[in-house]
Amino acid sequence: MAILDHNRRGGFTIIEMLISLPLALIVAGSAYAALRVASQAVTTATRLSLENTMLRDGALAANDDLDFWTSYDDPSDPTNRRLRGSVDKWWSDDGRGMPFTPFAALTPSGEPVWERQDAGVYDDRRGWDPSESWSAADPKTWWRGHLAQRKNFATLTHGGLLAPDLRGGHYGIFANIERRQHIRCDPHTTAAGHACVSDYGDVGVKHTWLANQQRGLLRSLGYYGIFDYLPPNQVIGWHEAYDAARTDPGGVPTGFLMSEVGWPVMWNGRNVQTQMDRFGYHRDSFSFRYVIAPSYGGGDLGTLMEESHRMVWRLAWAADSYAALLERIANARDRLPLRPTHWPAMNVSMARFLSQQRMVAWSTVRVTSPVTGDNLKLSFTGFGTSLRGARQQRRPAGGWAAWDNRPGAINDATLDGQQ
Amino acid sequence: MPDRSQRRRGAVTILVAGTAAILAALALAFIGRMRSDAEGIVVLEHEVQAKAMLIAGCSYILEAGRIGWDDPRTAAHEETFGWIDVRDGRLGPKHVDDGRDDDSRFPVGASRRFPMHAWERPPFAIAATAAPNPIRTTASDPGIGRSDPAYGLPLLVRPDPQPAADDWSGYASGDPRPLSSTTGMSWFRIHRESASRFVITCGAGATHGWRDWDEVVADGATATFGGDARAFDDALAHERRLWYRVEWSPAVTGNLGYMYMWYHAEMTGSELHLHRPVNSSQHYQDQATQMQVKNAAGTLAWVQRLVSAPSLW
Repeated sequence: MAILDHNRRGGFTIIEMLISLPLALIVAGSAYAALRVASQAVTTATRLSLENTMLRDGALAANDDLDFWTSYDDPSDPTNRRLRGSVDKWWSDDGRGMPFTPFAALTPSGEPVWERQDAGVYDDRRGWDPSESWSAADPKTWWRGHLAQRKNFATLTHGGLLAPDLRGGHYGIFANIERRQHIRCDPHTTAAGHACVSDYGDVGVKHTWLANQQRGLLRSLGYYGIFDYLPPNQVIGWHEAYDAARTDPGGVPTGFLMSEVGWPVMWNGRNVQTQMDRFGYHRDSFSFRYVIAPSYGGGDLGTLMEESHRMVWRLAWAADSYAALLERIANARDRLPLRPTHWPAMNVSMARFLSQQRMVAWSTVRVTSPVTGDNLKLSFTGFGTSLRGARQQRRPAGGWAAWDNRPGAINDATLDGQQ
Repeated sequence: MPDRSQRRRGAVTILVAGTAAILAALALAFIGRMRSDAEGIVVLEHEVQAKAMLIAGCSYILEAGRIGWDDPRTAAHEETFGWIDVRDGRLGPKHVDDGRDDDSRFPVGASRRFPMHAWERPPFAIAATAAPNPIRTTASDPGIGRSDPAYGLPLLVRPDPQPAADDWSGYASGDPRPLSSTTGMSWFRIHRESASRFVITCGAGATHGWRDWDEVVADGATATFGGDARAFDDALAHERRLWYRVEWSPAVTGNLGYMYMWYHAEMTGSELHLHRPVNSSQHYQDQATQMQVKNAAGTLAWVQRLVSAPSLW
């Protein structure tokens, strides 16, 4: 007779199974759910971590661009030096170079972007001297024009033109781009009964350096460039020689002036003195902005390169004016064009413009999730290398310019090197 | 041989331990990733802090060209006239009171170190007292009855805002002791390259701006690092350094027309700052604020980040 050995029984009772199986299923289900939630949490954490990393790297890249301007001109990448060209347009009196054009470059017609002459006279030099300190005590840096040399309302209708009022003097003989100035008879600007009889004749102009610096910078770099290079309180405007076909007698100030309504006027000598008033501003940009051309993004190359860095962007009172401005000028780049498809897209853009007398560098980092479509956006303005500093970082033929200050160091030529 | 109940306990233990191990592994991975992210932020933090030092260095150059030479022990308020003196074009900063007509305040070729920290209490600090003059009622502490003449009245019996110091002397001079949590974090250093050009080195780290250990020894400052060169080397290894060149200009910014012509001469005939205070930020044109204020200390003509460290800084 077999003896049932209860102690050696290996199974469970049916009651135990009925109780334990549902419990086990509940436990297993809960564990699976917990594992699934934990797994999703890790996936989410991974995604967030990736986005954070991208945002962080984007911020670092934007910071880098603040200092090295590589989104506008990359010394290491020949395909991104589009702002180094030169133009030769009918309007090229007002500009030939671009923001990164070497001063020593030639236009397509073979003319120097910035004409250089050196007569050996202290205040008569031409061209850019990188070592010039623009000392306030140096007379050649003093502006000697006369912005208040304004239209004379009594002569408004003369000859269908708005004749200049020269009763205050011919200020073109104090500062001019030319060394000699011919003073002509202008009967319409004399007091009644004192009409002139003949031309006064030629006189020497003592100060020509500053006028040529201003004109050279504007022609070489455009609006943004001239404001970057000139001292911030500089009145910008110069006298040119009298040209019967172009200017009024006496050589009225020509240059970059401001009308009372806040609209900039290029006073280039072809016009009469219609807009000139007492507002000879510098850098003022109350309702408009001067921008630097984006070197990336859409747009016809010719239009973009030749004119945009001379663009004047007028802001309306609408709240979205800034957004429209930034959309137009932002130099946006996809930082990860070869990323895996499930990775977020990262875009870093830089907009550089002049607003309220300040050079603004506006960085924006965007990270876009391919899963949710969510946008992370980080915008900030920063302080770093100026345009002149960026040009001094670069060699004319490409590559970064080495610079050292140890005694006897020979440094590379830069975009600002002497012509 | 284990009995049945022991075997069951063993199975449960294995199940629980396994699940716990999985959860612990996930938690560790999560924490590790967060930690890694936090460490990644340090790079950005150092970069930003170093850039903040660029602004500090630029501010020093601007202010040291004109102001900042005042000796508080004397009645006179000494000012100088620029790194290149605006009066005669000679080297500065100099003023006429002490007869020093040279650049001896900061010679060309000299380098100076500026470790930065916050003060325990800056001059003229105010306390964050929410209600220095609380209205007293029956509910206030101490409370007053309705018949009290001061009941419910906003009596300004104490200065508002409240000074952070106990007396005027402490309020005016502040407490220059370094705030301990802010030391050893950032510094800048300036090398005067020529009359108006400077190399600014910006540092985010704990070396206090010493270039290397030899310089620490030469300055007799080894105690700063406990006399241990390895401590300095460790700080150096974790430090972010940026080099810039800048040029000071005597030119002042500000809008000539708005400052001197339009409002001053025509609209009011009064001093600009009487009707446009420096910090007025509420204006219908939003333009008569700091943006229009002239910076009498000069400006920076240009700023250039250096691609590599120069020999002299």
